[in-house]
Amino acid sequence: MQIAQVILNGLLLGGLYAAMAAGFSLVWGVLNIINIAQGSAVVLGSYVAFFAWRYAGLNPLAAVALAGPLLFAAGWLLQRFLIQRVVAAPVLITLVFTFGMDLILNNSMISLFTADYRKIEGAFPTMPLTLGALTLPVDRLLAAVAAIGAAFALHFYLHKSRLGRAIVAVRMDRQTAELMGVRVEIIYATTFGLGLAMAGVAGCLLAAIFPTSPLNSAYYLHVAFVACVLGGLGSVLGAVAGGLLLGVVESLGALLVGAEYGTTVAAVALLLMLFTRPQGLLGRAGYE
Amino acid sequence: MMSRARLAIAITAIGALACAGLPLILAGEPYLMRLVTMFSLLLVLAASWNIVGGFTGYPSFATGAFFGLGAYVAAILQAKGVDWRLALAAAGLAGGVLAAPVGYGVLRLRGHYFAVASLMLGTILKELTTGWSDLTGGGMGLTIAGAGGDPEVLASFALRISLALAVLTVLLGAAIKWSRLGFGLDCIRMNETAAAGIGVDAQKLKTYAFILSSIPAAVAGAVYAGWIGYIDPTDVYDVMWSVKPIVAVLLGGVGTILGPVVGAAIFVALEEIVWRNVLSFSAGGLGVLIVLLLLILPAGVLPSFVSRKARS
Amino acid sequence: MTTALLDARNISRRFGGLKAIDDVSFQLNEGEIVGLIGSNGAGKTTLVNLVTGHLKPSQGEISFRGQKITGRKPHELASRGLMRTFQIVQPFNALTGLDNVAAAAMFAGHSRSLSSAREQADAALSNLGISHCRDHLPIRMTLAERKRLELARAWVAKPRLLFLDEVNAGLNTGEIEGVLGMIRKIAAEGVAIVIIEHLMKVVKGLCPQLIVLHRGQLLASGPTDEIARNPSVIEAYLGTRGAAAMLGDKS
Repeated sequence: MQIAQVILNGLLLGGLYAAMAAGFSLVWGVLNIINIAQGSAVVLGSYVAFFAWRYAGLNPLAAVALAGPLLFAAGWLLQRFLIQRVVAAPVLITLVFTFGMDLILNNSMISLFTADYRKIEGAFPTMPLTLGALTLPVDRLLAAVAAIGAAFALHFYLHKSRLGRAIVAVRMDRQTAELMGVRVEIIYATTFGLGLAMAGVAGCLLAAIFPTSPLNSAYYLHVAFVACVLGGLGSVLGAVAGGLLLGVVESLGALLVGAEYGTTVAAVALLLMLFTRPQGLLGRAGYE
Repeated sequence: MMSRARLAIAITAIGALACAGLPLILAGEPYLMRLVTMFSLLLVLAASWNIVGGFTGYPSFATGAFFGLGAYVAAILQAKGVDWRLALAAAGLAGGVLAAPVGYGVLRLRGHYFAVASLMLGTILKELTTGWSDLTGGGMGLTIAGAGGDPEVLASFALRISLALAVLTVLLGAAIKWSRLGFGLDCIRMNETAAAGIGVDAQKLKTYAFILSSIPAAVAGAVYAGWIGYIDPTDVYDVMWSVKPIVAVLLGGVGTILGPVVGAAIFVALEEIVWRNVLSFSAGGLGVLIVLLLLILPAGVLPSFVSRKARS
Repeated sequence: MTTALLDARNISRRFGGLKAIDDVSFQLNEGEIVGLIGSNGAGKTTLVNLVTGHLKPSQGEISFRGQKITGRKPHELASRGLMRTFQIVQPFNALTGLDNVAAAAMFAGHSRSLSSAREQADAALSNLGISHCRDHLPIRMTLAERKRLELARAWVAKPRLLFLDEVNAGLNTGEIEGVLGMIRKIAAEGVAIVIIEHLMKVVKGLCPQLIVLHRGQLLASGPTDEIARNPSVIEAYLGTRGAAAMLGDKS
């Protein structure tokens, strides 16, 4: 029964991971860029929620509507006017470039808001639900459901809307999409904007559950990457599956070998996946 | 062929002069000594990264992992009373021994997958080091025995060792680039399928390159530990030890022999300027430097013809 | 009975549910020139990938010069004398024409030093009529020159068996004539050659022996004249009467 509880906790954690990974996966798949600044973008989302709660009493669920558009705009501009210049460069260059962006964003947040850990207290109900022998913390459930909901919203946006379908088309075959009249720079900017918006949404929900700080950004990046590879690159649903799996793996790992080895456990899971099923749980093989 | 021999002799001669002369010239200038030592250590990391990242074309972020491993191996051994020379050698050996299986596995991955897998090596080692506190002191870190002596003597000693190591690493890079191994790595970087088609054992050569690159990085960590006198996991496994060398090589010219030298010098100079003026924003300053560098000078400061000329 | 140069027995390869190669056996002898033909999707390139180590067979055994080579890596086979060219040319883009070839002399041809590798490369370039590309980067060469560059790489490696995957694809008639001359030159050195080709005219002029694949299976193999008269080959591979007429045009 303890195992069942641990798996449940892992799934609740994994819901948040899914939102962190969804935007990261989208950007990687469409632009062939790993956005190292994704972790810091999550923290930025947390700050938006934190200050909205403190100064306007805005619930983190509502702050999503603030952080999402804000980070979308920031991402759109960044991609359109900065990253676009290196988007076709080799992996090394784009990696180091987004690393540089991450240093700027992260250090700015530390300078402005200090490295203190902050958490939104009292926004979500905290009484636990009991299901038989299992305990279900309502605040975590709320955050996980909202996070997965956001990921699904992104999924449906990509498949139902005109712009979303253009994004999918560019991911599948950029040149053909260009021939069909799709303006690739605009698609790239929109994609990067959506990627950061998802990070912002994840950050809002995260801040209601866990204390966050710019010091945690590297960890969030790690989560996004591992979830992405576990689930399989190429679809939002893959990122969701990967996020949930990572949450469970981490929770089980904490139970079996100790929480302090969380990254090592995740890395072992990642390597096992890469060498046995490189396309991930739901993905297609062959993307570098 | 002549120009290669001349370049090798020039590197050796200038290096030997620097090793012998700089500690004398800089005696009584602790600030400059610290600066040159930092430059030398960065140069070691940059030149060793260049073997994998430049010659082979695999974007490794594992430099910091080997740096940290070397620092800990040397510190633990010295704490147990082992002679510093043996400790440095053991650090290098440990780096190579870890690099062999890790490289063999991880170098099967490409692009982003390789980059992030190599990045995770440092995180894993950091966690394991922190967790194994009986041996490593955990998060509390380790103080290196023998560092309690005269700080001036220690500074001069660290300067000489790190300079010598830097010269050796640059020569190692040249030796690899001009060898059969280097020719094979060139082919692998340009087209791995075609390389296999003409008989290049890519897996073997990539692993050799990874091992050869990890050894100087680990020794650099050992030198750093002895110089600073105190290490902890967040310091020596900092991802910056992986990123700064890459930025230095990008500044100087990827895949060239002298690119790391030029790049490390520019990097240390820029870092000092930023450091002095905006201490609280030093990481952000580095970020600005990276972004500007890649937008303005994507090929590095040394013109790219150096790398093409080197082979003819 | 002498052992064949290459002996492939009952090899199969599945991709998921699809049998790309289904129980194919064939032998090649020292120094012979064989055409490997079949319609699009017949499995020609897959078969080459299996024999040269780029893919592993799901079943079956392959031996080369009397030794089992099933599952060996491409680089190992290349240095043992089993080489191939690619349907899409694969040059080293930042190496000159000379060094592109010298690399092959070094790694597959076992040259001891770079200078001896370059000497051999120089000779190969002039043998294949592309000495003028010595100091050019591949990007400055025409497609025909790049194809010859690949042949030069194969030449210096001194293979015993060479697979040429659609070496004429994309070339005009004059260029094809030139490349065929080169292939004859390489064959004259005693190298066994397998040519994967669409153009029946090319195959008939060059290859005394043929292997015909159809939907992953070996349809026929033997002397070109016999194969050309084989009704099932005509029907399966060429399909139409017009094509059959073309096949029979010589007789």
